Amino acid sequence: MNSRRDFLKHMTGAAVLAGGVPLMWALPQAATVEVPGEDGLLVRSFRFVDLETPVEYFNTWLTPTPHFFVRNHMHEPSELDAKDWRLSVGGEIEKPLTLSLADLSKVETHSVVNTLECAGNGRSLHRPQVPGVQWGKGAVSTARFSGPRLHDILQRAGVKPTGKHVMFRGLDEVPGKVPPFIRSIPIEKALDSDTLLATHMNGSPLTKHHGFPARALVPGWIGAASCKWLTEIKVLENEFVGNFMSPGYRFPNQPGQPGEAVKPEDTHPLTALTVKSVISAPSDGASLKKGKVTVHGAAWAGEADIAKVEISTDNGATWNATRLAHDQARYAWRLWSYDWKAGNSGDYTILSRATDNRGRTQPSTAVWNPSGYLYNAIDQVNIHVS
Amino acid sequence: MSRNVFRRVLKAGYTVKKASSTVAKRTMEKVGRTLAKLGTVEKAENTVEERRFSAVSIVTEDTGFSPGGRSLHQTLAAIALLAIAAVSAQAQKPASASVNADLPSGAMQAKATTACTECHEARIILQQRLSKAAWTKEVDKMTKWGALVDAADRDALIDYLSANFSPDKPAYQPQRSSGEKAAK
Repeated sequence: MNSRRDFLKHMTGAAVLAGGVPLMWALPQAATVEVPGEDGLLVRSFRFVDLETPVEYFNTWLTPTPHFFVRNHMHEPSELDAKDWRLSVGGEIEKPLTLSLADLSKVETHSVVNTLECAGNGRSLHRPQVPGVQWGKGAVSTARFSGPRLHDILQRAGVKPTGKHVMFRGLDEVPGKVPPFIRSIPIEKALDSDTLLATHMNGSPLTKHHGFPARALVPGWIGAASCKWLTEIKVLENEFVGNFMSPGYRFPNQPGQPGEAVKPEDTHPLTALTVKSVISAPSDGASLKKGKVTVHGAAWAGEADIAKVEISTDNGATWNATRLAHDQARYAWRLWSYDWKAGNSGDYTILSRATDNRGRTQPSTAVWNPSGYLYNAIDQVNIHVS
Repeated sequence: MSRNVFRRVLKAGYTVKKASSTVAKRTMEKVGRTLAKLGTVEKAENTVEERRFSAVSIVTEDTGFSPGGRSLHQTLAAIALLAIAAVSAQAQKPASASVNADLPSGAMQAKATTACTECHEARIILQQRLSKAAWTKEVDKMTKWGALVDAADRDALIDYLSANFSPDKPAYQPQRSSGEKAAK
């Protein structure tokens, strides 16, 4: 695994470091919240657990698990026993299955490096503001997920021709009368050779926060597709009907006026992520000295590949190509960097703009939608050079 | 200091390009105190290793020191690094915050706490910046989902949330997690 230190070393340390003083140093020392196994993350919520990866951690291709963002809709399962855990597979199939963790371990393992992003990442940046967890830019991380292919499990169960969607139910503990967190994906994506029943993350068994003992891993798609703490897989004739399929996780078919209501019939379920880049350093609000400043960050495009990332240091008047880092995989982000010579004192706005191999480019303004999904406007940081 | 610790410190210090003599002097004074606070060499060793990244980022911002020789350079840099690492470790270990935050005071504080925090904690509310229309939708949705709100309190609850968490309020500043205990 690449370490943060190695990456920074490759990018000529001093300039990067001077430009990228971690945010924790710039702020008064607020008390931390103890969350075992999760270090230095922004606590959006403790109960239930929602933790954001600070953008300054976007400097390793694989995110160390303690720095990997955590998104829960409700409470984590209070009791999970690997020995007693079972996964049922039913619905439109020939042969219902009940699988233990030992059963899964006997199925051929496949690994996928995937950038997992919450559909609501960047929600706090939409205007007008919308309700929900107010993610900044860091509800996204990248890890190597491993486990059996969902395809192999479904093949063993024998999907009937009527089976068109695959539903996932997790062991999330539902508070009050909140609808259970159940979602479905189309059969084509479920049978894709890269869609997994992941049991491992970065080479270790999943931690509880990330779905132990098994989660769906639907690469390139919104994080909500990758249901955690799986207990049931059901093949359905139609898309699952429930709060987290509709009205949840839907996007307007056509961009509307910001703040205006969108009719349910004018929306579609969210699937793949869109094209996006985020600046990791310099930090927004940083004061830098004149000289070389390495601007760096990450860019991803769901099921598409990043074609280029450009940087503007003059508020969009001119754009410069960045250097894309070597590490790449189909569903994973690319790290990028750009050496900027900050020659004059003053205030600067640095912009980053990604383009993918399908020709999609980050817009200057993201499409506003009532739940604040898929924020992907050109990223920017404001800095001062003296 | 064990040989192992010192070797690591030197290795780290070697990467430090510039360290001001002022910083070095100041940090030399601190090093004894901070090591004493840390208690054991073993703990210092871990701390240096974990915090080196942060420490280097601070040291490289200082300029103006021309080392007389490699060993002096290394030693000063190493001491500075160790001291800053140790101080930073202390600074980054404030008392843990209460895991649950509080809603702001007001006539509806108690009722809002009862209604909302049965299912989720207050931070979810503290970070919202919504119009009254949006708060109205949220309160009605949450009531449908089980929040216990007397019909007579609905409007007052919406007013309380709208007054405290409107779009014109400054952005919420989240705390950081500290994951010192190993994950299960």
